[in-house]
Amino acid sequence: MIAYNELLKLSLTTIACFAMASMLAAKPNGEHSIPRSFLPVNILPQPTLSPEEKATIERARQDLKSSNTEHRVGAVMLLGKYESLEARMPVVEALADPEVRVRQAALVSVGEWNRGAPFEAVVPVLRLVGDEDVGLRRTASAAIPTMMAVKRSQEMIRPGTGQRLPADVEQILIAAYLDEDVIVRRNLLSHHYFLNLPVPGETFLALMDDEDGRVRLEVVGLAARFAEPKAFADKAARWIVDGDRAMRLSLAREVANFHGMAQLELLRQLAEDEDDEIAAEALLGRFRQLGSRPVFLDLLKRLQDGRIKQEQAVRFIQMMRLRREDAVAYMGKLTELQDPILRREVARLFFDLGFAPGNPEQVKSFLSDPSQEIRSVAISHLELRVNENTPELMDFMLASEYPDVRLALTQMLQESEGDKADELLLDLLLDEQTAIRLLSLREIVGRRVDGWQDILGASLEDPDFQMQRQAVELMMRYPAPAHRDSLVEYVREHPKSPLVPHILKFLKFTRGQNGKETL
Amino acid sequence: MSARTIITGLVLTALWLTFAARAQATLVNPAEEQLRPPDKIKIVQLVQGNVLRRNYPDGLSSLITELNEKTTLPVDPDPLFIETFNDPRIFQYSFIYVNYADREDWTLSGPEQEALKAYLDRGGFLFIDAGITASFLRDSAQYGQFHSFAEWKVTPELEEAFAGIYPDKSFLPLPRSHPLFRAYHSGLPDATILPDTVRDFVVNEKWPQGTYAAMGLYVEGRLAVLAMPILAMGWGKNEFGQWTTFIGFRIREGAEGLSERLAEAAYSGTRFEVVREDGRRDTIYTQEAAMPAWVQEPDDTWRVFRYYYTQEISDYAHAFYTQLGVNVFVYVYTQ
Repeated sequence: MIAYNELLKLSLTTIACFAMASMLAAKPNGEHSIPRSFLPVNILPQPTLSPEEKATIERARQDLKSSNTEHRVGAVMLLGKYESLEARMPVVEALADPEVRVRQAALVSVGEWNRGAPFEAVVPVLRLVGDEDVGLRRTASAAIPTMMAVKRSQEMIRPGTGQRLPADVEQILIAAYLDEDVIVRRNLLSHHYFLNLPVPGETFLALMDDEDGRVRLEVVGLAARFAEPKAFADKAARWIVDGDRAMRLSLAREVANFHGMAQLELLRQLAEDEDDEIAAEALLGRFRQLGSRPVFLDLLKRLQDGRIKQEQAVRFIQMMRLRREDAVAYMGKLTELQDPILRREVARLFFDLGFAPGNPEQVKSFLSDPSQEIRSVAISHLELRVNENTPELMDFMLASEYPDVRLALTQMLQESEGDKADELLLDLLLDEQTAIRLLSLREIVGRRVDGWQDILGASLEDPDFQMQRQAVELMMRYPAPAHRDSLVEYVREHPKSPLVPHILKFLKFTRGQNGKETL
Repeated sequence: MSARTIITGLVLTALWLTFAARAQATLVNPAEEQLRPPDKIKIVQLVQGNVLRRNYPDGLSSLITELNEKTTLPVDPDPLFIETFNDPRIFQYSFIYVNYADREDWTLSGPEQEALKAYLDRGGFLFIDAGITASFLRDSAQYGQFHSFAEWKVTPELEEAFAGIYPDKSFLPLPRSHPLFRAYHSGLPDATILPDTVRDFVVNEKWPQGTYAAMGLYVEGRLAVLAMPILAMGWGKNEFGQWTTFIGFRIREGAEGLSERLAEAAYSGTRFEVVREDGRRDTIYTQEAAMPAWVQEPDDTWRVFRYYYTQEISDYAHAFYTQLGVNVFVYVYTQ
């Protein structure tokens, strides 16, 4: 088993290194390679230093041994500007310097490296979250996501080497949730999921009463997840009564993520909030959990009265799939919504719930909607069911004022057969949009619709040059005596056309086959 | 009754009637004014291409929210989007906002030049967010969206675009004393939250008295076009009132003996010059693409660029940019 694990580890490492090396080698420092600052410097090939760079680094390393604090600060600042490990490792060591100013300079340098910091910097930086200097604690706690990303990269590239954080560092970090400085507390809460430490639920409950509003907003989700449910519900109930708007809104969002009677009761209370956004948020949470008709109707009324934010309304329409029968009953009203973004969601719902076959007029209405996004929802649906589209619907699309609808019809006809399809393609050949004419010409020729050779000949005289070029290419692809004559005629009529050299080359190449010289 | 009495009576009557009419006017008109809601100011925003892919989409809308909340300017929350300057609708409104990177090509067509000239001549105002990025950030319009290295010089593209409209005019630096910087907010936001080194640099060098690198084009003595490093990154707020983007600070720092070390330090990137407000030049050295490492200043002092990425710094920058954005709008509508 040990041998197998070792082998697996070795294979993973080899594959990862190979992939990384190939990406980095593909175009060193180029725009298509991974930026070097995205990976810990110690797992990358070291840059080749010039003698001047070596000398600069060596001088700075000597300065770092000086008893003069300012010299050490300057050395740390300068060394931080070089990528090699020879320059960066002394900066990492300076994170433990006895002087605050040196530690601070080193910490800012490590921050500049971003994810390019060496793995060895992770623990010393996180240890500074407990430093005596508040500035250092702030900066170090802000660096948590970057340091954890460095740790993850190390584990990915060299499995088994990115060990767990030392116990003392874990304790420092857990204690920092209750740091006396508000910015440190905010940082720890914002970055909680990067650390994923076993922070006691009581800590989060205590922070729900924090003097700082942002701390309270950040902690509510963590408290809902990790604190004892009854204790959380009690705190939350107080927020509903005493909390400001942002607290109540945040509570409505977070509580909706957890199932349970206590959460439902909190949502019920929040649904009675005088603020429409908070009430709608709580109702959405209840609807997601219960899917009940009264909540549906309450939300629907708010939607019709304009008492729900657009983003909330989108979520509500998406959730209507939970109550298919009610969505069916109110579909008519929903399709009349003024907001095009909401109508787009309604269109998706309409097609997803299978309304299209029984409501051809509504399908036409979506295809005629002024919003291109709504038309594209209808088009996407129809394109997947080409054979189910009725001749009447296709005629409707042909007459559409919107080019995207007519173009979609042309594309759909590529998968349709029969006289009706041929007839529509001939109509589309007269479309004002070149892209549509090009597509229909290709299709007409490809399926050899009656008169296709004459159509090709006539297309040579199309006012649009792209059509002329397409006709020439098709004539060359499907050779016929009539085409040859048409091309000869074209050369005579349009001697300055850019297509002439191409045509002459073709005529010369095929001359032997026809047995006569035409030019 | 004597003639004198009659005349005096007539004069008094006339005076009373005049006074009564005026009094009525002063009593009635304000009431009417109060009943009529003020017209909303509409902002025009130029975005070339897909509006949904514009840079910092929350930027302008949250600044408008701030204007409506903090000032008495009644601004329509929905800007009018246009794609080119020769959209005839611009003449209905007096303020056009454009993020420099929202227009890929700043070559103005003939009709655009004509329309923009007519617009500016008639009193219109154009705010170009960015457009004075330093040369090392010009390789890509997107670079200027993430750095705002202050150079007191517009990009060659802007210079050329406006030279076609006003051949005899050029962009000039806005002096630190310009009233725009005090139009509504004056000075910097409270900087006590910043780390000492950062605070000293910000207060004394980066944004002294709440000013910022800005270039203006004057038409008939009026500031008609304003170009500033990207501000929109500092305006976007979410529904909880929190900023949606993160801003880091680039600070110049020194230490005893460092100047000598930097003067002889090897560098592997590029070296370029940037114009200061007073016309003197800094020489910037980079180690990575578009990331300044240290600088030789006009007085031959050398300092390193230090990059600070913390939440309080980001919040501070947001607050300052919002303040500056408010000042721009208030200045335009009150001057």
